Amino acid sequence: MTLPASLVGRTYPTHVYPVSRAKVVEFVVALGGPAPVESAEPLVAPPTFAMIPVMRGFESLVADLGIELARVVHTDRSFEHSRAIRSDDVLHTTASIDSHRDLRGSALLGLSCAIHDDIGELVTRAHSGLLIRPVEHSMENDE
Amino acid sequence: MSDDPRPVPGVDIGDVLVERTVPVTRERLVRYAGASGDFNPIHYSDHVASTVGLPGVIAHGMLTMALVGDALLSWVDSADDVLELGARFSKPVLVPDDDAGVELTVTARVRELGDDGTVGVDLTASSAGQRVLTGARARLRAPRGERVRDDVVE
Repeated sequence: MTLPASLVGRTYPTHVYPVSRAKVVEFVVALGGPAPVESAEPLVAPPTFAMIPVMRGFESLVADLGIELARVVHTDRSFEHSRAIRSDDVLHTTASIDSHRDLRGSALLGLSCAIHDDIGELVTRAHSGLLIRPVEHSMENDE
Repeated sequence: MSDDPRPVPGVDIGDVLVERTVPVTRERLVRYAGASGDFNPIHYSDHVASTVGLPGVIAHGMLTMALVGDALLSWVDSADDVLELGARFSKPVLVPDDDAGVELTVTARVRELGDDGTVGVDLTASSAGQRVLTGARARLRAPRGERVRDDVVE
């Protein structure tokens, strides 16, 4: 995977993601939990729900770099939460590239995302490590 | 302000706060793909997985972390009390195309007690006898004991 050397410091346009009650319910159920009970109160999303705006924030990055999704593997991920995401939040996510190095022909990218709410308060900071495998990689030359 | 670390009632270093085993099946991968929006085909297509050099369809690393996060929710009062959560995805979780899938076992053990009343925990997640996360940690706000919980209607 040949990526330009000047990637570090690149910041992508802020992505706006309106959370919905249905999405929070779908996420909870996908993890095997019971559907939350009906309530007038906003639902509190699970701690890794932040993954959704983070991935949306990456879409422009993946398109910009011409990366094929199937060649991307997450190596690490961390979240620092100021508070949990709620189903009535509108989230503003800005992704940037913190580091870039070559690892035996694969590209290793360190990305950070800052997620703010509609009034500009920080909700979550996320760090992600992505390994982008080269196109010629196969099981035969894995060892 | 005291210099002494504030004790977290009922919690000691080394305590196992959570231990849980959950099945990870192809159905769960598909549900998680839809819920998270992560449609990387290595999480549902054997053909694509083998093309990129994987031994088979693997779980989303973030699904593993989400299941760890979900287990932590059984100890804290609310998702607001999960202050930090992070891990390195060191081994793939291979998910066979059968009814049983593969089991993922999650543990959370107290590493340190913060002077701000928070609890640092070391996390493990194992599948097929292998640790699939390394350096997995969380920082949690301890449950507030006798306090009436927000979700309980008086």
